[in-house]
Amino acid sequence: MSEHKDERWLDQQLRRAVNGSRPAFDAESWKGRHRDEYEALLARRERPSRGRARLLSGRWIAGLAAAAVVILALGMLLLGRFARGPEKPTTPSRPVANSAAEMMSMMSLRMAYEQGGFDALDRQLQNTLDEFGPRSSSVSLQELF
Amino acid sequence: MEQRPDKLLVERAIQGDGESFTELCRRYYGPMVAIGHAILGDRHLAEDAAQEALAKAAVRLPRLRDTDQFGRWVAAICRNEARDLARTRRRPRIDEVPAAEEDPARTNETAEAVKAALSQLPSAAREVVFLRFYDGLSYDQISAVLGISEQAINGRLRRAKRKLAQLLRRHGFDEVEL
Repeated sequence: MSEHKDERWLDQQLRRAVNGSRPAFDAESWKGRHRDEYEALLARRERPSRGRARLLSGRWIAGLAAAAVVILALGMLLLGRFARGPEKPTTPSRPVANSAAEMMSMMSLRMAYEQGGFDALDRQLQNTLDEFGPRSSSVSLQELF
Repeated sequence: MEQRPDKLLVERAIQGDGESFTELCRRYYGPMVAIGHAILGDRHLAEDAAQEALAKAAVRLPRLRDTDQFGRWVAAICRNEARDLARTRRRPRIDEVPAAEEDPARTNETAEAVKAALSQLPSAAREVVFLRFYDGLSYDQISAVLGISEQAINGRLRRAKRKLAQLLRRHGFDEVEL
């Protein structure tokens, strides 16, 4: 054991211990042993890539959602029309507002619509125009309130 | 002929190009066998582990995000495969690997001691020794599978050898000096 053992000696010993000749990859044998895996790899050639598939499916979902919104909106519109039934002929009703300010208030417009539909609303607006129309400057403050 | 970069081969293989994947297999089979050998202590089992790892890589390739990190990624699959194999089969110890051809008593004793010392190294150190002393593996290949620079490989190797010398001295090889 008197021999001096340096790094070179150790490298030599390690080369022997590892005993690793260059391994060669036998592609054909590997493809035979792992046919399913290799075919799974080749199958990706026919499919669109994952990114593209995701993009396509994203567009498809967005289109579907837009179509659903349009159909829903149309459905609600038609349903509302049928539920309300045909516009009823309105009967003349008493005026819901006496002063011009009342005539213009949202509440009075709403009450007019509820009492007589569009005809009553139209009548109320006409009355308002009559009051404020070309003669608006002649309307006194008392008439307004 | 200039070697095509891994990134390009990986991208083509992801698109289903079998030739590109086969080229990657040829490129990394050697380092993978060395890694498997370091874990399993058996060359044939190491080849099995490397081939299984490549089969898994073929299926999982689209999941690889850093396409220029194929070597490191496939080496990690191979390590796991070798560890699984070591759990399921009785692991032949490194000192059970047949000794080299020269057979005088002293040579045999040295070979046994070196193998015993190798088996006591931490796994990362043992791996770098196997990668370095497998025939024909370049620093580029080792660097690609370990994900570290050439300088870092040398550092790791130096520490591994120092540890080996220490272990050999404990086995009676007092004259080993590094």
